[in-house]
Amino acid sequence: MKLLAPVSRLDEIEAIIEAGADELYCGVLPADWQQRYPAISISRRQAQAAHFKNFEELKSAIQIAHNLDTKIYFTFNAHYFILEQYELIKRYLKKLAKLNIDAIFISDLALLLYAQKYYPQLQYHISTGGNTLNSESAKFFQSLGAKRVILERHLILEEIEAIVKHTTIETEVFIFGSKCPNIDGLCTFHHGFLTIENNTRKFGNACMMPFEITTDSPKRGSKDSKSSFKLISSQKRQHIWTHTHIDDRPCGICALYDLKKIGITSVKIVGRANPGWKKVKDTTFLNNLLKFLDKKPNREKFIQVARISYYLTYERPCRYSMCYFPEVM
Amino acid sequence: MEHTLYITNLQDLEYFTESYSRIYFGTEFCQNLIPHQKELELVLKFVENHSISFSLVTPYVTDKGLQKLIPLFSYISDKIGSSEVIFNDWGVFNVIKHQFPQLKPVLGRLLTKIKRDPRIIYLREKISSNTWNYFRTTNLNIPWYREFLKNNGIERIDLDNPLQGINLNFPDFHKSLYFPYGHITTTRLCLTANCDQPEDWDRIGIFPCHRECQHYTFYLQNNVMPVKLIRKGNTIFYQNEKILSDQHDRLVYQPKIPI
Repeated sequence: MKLLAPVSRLDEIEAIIEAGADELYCGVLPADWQQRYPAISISRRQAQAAHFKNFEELKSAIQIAHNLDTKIYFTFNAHYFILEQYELIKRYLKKLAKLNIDAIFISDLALLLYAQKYYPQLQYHISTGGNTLNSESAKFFQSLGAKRVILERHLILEEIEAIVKHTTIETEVFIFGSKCPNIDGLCTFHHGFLTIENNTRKFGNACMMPFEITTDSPKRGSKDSKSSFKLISSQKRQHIWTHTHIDDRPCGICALYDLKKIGITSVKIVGRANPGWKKVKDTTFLNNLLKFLDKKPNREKFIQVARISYYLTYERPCRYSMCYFPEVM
Repeated sequence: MEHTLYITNLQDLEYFTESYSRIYFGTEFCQNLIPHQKELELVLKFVENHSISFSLVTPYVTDKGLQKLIPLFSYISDKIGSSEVIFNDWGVFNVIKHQFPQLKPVLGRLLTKIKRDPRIIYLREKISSNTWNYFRTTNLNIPWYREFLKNNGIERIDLDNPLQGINLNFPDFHKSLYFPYGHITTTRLCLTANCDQPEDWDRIGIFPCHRECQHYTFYLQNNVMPVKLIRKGNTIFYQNEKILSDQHDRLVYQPKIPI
């Protein structure tokens, strides 16, 4: 099982590979795109910190990674593009093919069809924005030339196992960072308003905003107490929901034992925009656990060590709502 | 214009009037709410008695969800042959394509990509025409994508009616518009499931479901949102009473929030 880590600066690549990353992923915010579509990123990250500055820098990144025998992937995973945007998209794909990128992450079916037709020599990974929740989706994307599917975050281990068992495509799961509270590819809130209006309160991510919650009046015959009970519950959970995305340490490491057994190809650390030291820290943390897994501990022992390591490394206890695989807790 | 009544449970057949010529039945958002075959039988009987058309609505699913849908596909194939199935998961489409070619796949609104963030309407004066156009357009304006859909037997597209309006300039497809509720986002970490269990109050996760969503609706308000958000079960909706488009040939009326 491989470890996939994010990069966004040339000077952090070596350190992240040294820390144990087997594969890297990255993005670019092209200037001509930003000029034309300032509120829309080609890879769903608006912050410059999450990207290499341009394709020249990407070229250097690829060289560094390849010199260290490490594959590097490019995120081109906006949920959808429209025809008018293909003038630029075609240019970028041409550059990526020339640069010998190892794979491209794609969410949009129309982009996959185009890229596969004109650049069949490249490899394509279906981003979590493509919504792979079952083995038939995985087969569908494989039939269109995809090499790997990045599974939806909201799957329990049993559901992941069913996908791996019934398919031959490579599979990837999120293991650390950014536990989105919604189904990624089916969420239509827009992230990126801040580039238009520098007003965080008005244009911050909707999934992080506080909401006042009310509920319908109890139906006739129902108990008022039960209604308020549910309202309190909903308010508490809404509070957690709005913090899921902000929290910087969502984690699924206890499931590494099971994920390896299931046959997952790669586990992914989220955080392209994180500073280099944090990327190295997260990669080291995950790599140490994978090394421990290679020593074939029993499941119980592995989970115990994983939980202690998390506590010692990040100085916080495990939390149900921040756990990718709470069924393992 | 074809008028369709979209219902998620049998009781809602009470909303049927003679103005409707089709019934949508099923769920788009949760595999726990996939109807039982017995319910489907009763709806099909109703459809037959009223000489109207039928479409089965299906959600995004795991492999378990697929196993719940397959018997329903078998049943409607046997019963009415070429029924429409609204799919919101490419895996569901794959099953239809390979195992039930007699069924007519319709691209569901969850797979029709367009932003529905209500705040987009604030941007009209602040963004370039390129960006505004993006927010009002789907990837269905791409010819090779439409070609792919056609080659796979998809002739109809279902769409939400976003507050900022929507360009439906692809005359080579039939188009259905949902009214008055639009979907914004959905999750499997359902905030409603098990919400009456105190030990689960401070957690969100994939819990056992007791269909709590059938009893309660929550409204989310923040004054930066131009409309109230509606959380029903695992999904957040908005309500839009205005229809800006005139290029659809089917109106899918939701008498209640479709959960």
